[in-house]
Amino acid sequence: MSDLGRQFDAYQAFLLGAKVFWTRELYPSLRDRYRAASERGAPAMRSPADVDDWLCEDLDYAFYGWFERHLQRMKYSGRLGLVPAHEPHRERLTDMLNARLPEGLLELDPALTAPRYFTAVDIHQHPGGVCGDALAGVVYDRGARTTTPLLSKHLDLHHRFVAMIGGEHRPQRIVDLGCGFGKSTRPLYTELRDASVLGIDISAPCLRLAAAEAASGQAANVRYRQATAEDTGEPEAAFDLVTSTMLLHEMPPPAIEALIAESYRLLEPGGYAIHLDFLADDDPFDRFIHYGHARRNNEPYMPPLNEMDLTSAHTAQGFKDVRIVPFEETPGARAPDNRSWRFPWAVVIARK
Amino acid sequence: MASRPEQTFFADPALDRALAMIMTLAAELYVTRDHVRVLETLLVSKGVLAPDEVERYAPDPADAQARSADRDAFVRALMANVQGHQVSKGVA
Repeated sequence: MSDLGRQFDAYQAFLLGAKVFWTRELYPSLRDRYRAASERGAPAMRSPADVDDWLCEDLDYAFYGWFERHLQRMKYSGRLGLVPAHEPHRERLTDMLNARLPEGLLELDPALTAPRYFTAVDIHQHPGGVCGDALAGVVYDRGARTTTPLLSKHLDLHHRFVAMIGGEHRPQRIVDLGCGFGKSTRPLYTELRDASVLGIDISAPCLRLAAAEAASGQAANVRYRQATAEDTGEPEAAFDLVTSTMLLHEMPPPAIEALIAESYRLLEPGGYAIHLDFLADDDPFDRFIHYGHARRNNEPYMPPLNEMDLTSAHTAQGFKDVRIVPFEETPGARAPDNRSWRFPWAVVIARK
Repeated sequence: MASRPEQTFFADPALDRALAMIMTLAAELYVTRDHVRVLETLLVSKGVLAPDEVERYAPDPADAQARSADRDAFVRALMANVQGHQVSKGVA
């Protein structure tokens, strides 16, 4: 049982079960109907807008969309939703977050103003967003565990990403942009023990949780700082790897361009920028589903990221050898017999 | 914060709202089921109940009558809504 009690666990387990049904049953049946219609040759569907025309009055698609939107809403809100369920535990959790940390582990910037693009929308339907309330990081952490219900362990994909980085490069000085509560940072500092790792994020509540976890794990090769990814304040050429995980899709294109420029500045010659994110391919249905997810999950910058020419955006700043490759978040996720819904994971790799 | 209308997915937005009520009730029903099951498990493990004692429970005549009255009141309160009658004098 979790520390939030049996009723909370039962409620969230019910929602997770419903989400698994959506993932394994509702999505594949919608996709099968689309494929069958495409094979019949009519109507011609060349863009997400064509798929929208075909599905906009479809009853199965209405249920698909409703459940995607509202299972997520119910996860965060309502009597046993994540946000209200943490309220009775505020004092205990605040004490945990404010516990004394080793010197230099966490540097907060109370004067930092979060960009408007970040505060204008409550991403993931998390009321108040991941930046406002002191418990926002704790709530986000627990919510992130059930966003993609078929991931066997919620840390699994991050470890696979670190293994992929290791296949490219042996980094010694790493900066993890948009590190949030440290979910992507932790495998970096625990698996690359001879590297020093810096996590950068806008959100103080998330950084406090990341630092508390690093302290409890007695990690000596990580530190966290509050700053934006576009303007980290770190010295030039101080890193040999700039990375991010699920950050780019939270930023509008001008901010992404600023992040790429900042990444180039931070890297020493020969250093790598490696970003894990979501990029749907050109299949009209896949793109339609991805853009629909963006709207239903309060992710307004997912479609513009998908439309960006990330290769040109990198070469324009001086990067070389830019590659965009698919990423398999769990073993077999990209196999043809996996019919379940999944994010279109992709990795952007560039060298200075 | 100003109230904002929720996204809708069905031709009739009443369905969007009704489905939200169904799912809220389903979630609460599951939470209650879970609690009842835990209660039974604890009562059996502490020797208060025998396994399946609730399932095999046969009320005595007085309890059967009380249960019947309770069920009738529950059904009536639920079903009376379909008749669409006003319960106080007013304008149709």
